Amino acid sequence: MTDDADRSAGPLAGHDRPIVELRGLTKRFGAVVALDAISLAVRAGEFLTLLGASGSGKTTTLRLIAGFDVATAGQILMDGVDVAALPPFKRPVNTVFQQYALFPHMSVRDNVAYGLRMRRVRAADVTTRVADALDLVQLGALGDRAPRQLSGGQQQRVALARAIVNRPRVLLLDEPLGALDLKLRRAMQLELKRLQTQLGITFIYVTHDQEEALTMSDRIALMRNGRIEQLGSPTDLYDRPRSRYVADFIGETNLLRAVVAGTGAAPGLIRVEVAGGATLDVAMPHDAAWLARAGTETWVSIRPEAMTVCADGHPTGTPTPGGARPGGQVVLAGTVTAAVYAGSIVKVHVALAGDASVVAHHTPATAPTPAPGSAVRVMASADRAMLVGA
Amino acid sequence: MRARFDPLTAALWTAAAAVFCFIYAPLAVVVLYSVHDAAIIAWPLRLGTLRWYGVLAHDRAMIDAAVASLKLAVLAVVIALGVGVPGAFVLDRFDFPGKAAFRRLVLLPLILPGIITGVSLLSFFSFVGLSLSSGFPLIPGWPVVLGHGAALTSVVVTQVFARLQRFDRALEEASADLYANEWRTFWRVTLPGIRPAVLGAALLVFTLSLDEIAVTFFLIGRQNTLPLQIWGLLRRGITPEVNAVATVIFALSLLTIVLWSRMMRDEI
Ligand SMILES: Nc1ncnc2c1ncn2[C@@H]1O[C@H](COP(=O)(O)OP(=O)(O)O)[C@@H](O)[C@H]1O
Ligand SMILES: [Mg+2]
Repeated sequence: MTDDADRSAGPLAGHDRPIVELRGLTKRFGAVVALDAISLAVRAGEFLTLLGASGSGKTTTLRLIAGFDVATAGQILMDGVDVAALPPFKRPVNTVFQQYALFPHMSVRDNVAYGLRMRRVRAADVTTRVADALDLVQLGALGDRAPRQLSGGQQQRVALARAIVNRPRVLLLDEPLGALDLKLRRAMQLELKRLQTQLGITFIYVTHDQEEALTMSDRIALMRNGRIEQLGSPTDLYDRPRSRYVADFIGETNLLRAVVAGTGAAPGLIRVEVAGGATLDVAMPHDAAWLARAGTETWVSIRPEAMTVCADGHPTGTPTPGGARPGGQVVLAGTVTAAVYAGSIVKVHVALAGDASVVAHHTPATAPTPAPGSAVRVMASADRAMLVGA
Repeated sequence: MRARFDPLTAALWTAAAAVFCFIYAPLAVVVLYSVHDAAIIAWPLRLGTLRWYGVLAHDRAMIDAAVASLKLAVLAVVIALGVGVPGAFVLDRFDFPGKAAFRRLVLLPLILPGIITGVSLLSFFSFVGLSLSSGFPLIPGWPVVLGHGAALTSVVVTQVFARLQRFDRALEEASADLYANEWRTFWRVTLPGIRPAVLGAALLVFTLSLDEIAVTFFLIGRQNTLPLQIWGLLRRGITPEVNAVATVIFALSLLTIVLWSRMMRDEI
C-alpha cells in the first residue's frame, strides 16, 4: 500500500521513549489476517485514537495490548519492555470494555473497588479512592446500586471509574460511547477529554466515528484491513489525506479521477488531467515519488467547504476555463443539478464534464444561490485540491 | 379486567382447573388420610389424629431408610458436582476430538431406562469386585453411591454447560484486567455467574436421587432407601403410616421449593 505510510508518525522527539510501542504486530485467526504487521509508537500522555470501519482490526489491537489474545507475530513494548510473557493481570494497563462488562453481582462501589482489592490496597485507602473515583464521574450517590439499576450512560461512567481508580498509565477504551445516544455521546466526549487531560493518563481509544476521533484525539491512526492507513493529527488527516480512502473516511469530500501529467506551473504543484479533459494544477500533501510520476492514475480530493461556486461569466479574476492559473486556483466548469438547503449552508450539486460531479458548500449570505440548470464555475485554491493515493 | 364473557377464556380456565385437580387431588387424599382416625383406609373420613405420625416416629426401619436416603442423596450431589462442574468447563472451554458426540451422549444415563443403567452398573461393580454393602454402615454402600453419582452427573453437566454458554466471557477479561489471577477470577466472577445453575443442578440431583428406585433396586446392599422401604410396606397394602410418610415428604418438598424460589429471586 502506501509504502511510506508510517513515516508521519515521526521520529520520537529526542530521547522520549514511547509508553507503548507496537512492532510488526500481527494477528491471524485461522485464515483471517486481523492485524497485518502494524507498528505504532504511543507517546506518554497523548490521546491516541484507533479509527476505522468495522472489522479493520481495532479491537484486536486493544486485546493484544491488554493481553487477552496472543499475537501471531511482532512485539508489544511497554516502557521499552516486551510484555509478551505477561498475563493481563500483570500488565500496567486498564480497559474500558465496549459493553462495559460490569460485574452484575456486585454493587457499583464493589465494582470500582475490585482492582484495588485485587492489588491488596489497604481497606481505608480503597474506601477513599473509590469515593473519589465515583465523584470524578459524578456518580457519588449511586455507589450502592447494582449495575442493572443504572442507565447506559451511568454504567459507562462506572466502567470508566472502575478503570481509572487504579491510576493506570495507559487506558484502553473500546468504543466506550458506542451504545449511547448522540446527545449523551457528545457530552461524554468532552468529559472524557477533560478527564484525560486532568489525570494525565495516556488514552488508546477505539472508535469507528470519525467525528468523535477528530473531536477528541491528539493523534489518529486510521486503520483499514488490519493496517494503519495513515497516522497523524486530526488536521493532518483532514487537510492532508494520504489516500483516497483517508480523504473519504474523514469528513466529506469530492473525489475526481485524475491522471498525473507532470509538474505544475508553481513549485509544489502537480499537473493532472481530470475526467472530462480539464487540466488542473493541484497540491501534493505527501511527497510520494510514485504518486507524482507521469501517467499515475489516481484521485484529486477537494473538500466541499473549500469550493466556491459562481455563475458563469461572473468576473472573479480571469480564470482559464477548466484549467489552472499561476495564482493557484483550480477552476471547473459545470451545471448545477440541485441546491439542497442545510441550515447555515446550501449544498450545491454540480455536474462536470465526463460524468463527474461535485458538491460545494455555498454560503447564501455572501452571494445568491445558483439555480438548478444554470452554468457555473466551481473554484478552489490549488493548495486545497489535493492529489491523493488511490 | 375480564368484564366480557369469553368462551375461550372460560374453557381455558376450566381446563386449567381440571389439570390442577388431576395433579393435586391424589395428594390431598394422601394428606387427609394421614390424619384419618382408623387403621383401615376407607370412607367415611374421620379426621383429627396424629397417631400415624407417632407410629412413623417409632418405626426404626423407616427412619434408618430415611437417613440412608439422605446420605445417599448428599453423596450423589457431592459426586455429581465434583465431576459435573469441571466437566462442563472442559466442554465449554476446550476443544477435543469427539466433543460433539460426547455432548450428545452425556445425557444418556438419564434417558436410558433405569433398569438398563441398573443392570449395567451391577455387572460393572461385580466385575471390579466391589461389594454392594461396602462402606456400610457409614454410607448405604459404595456401589449405590457411585451409581447415583454417575447417573446424575449428566444433570450437572448439562445445566452448568448451558449457563456457561450464556456467560459473558468479557467479565472474566475485566477481572483479569483488574489484576485478578485465574483462580481469583474463578471464585469472584465466574462462580457467582454460574451459581444459580450449580445450585439448581444440585437440588435436582438431590431430589432425583431421593426418589430413585430402578437403579437403586439393583445396587442396594443391606440397607433399604426410603422409596424401597415404602415400596416394601405397600406390599401389605396402603397403611395410614404410608400416608403419613408421604405427607412428611410432600411438606419437605414444598418447603424446599419455597426456599429455592426465594433464593433464585435474589440470584437473578
Ligand atoms: N476471535 C476471532 N476469531 C476469528 N476472527 C476474528 C476474531 N476476532 C476478530 N476476528 C476478525 O478479525 C478482524 C478484525 O476484527 P476486530 O479487531 O474485531 O475489528 P474492529 O474492532 O475494528 O471492528 C475481523 O475480520 C474479524 O472478523
Ligand atoms: Mg471492535
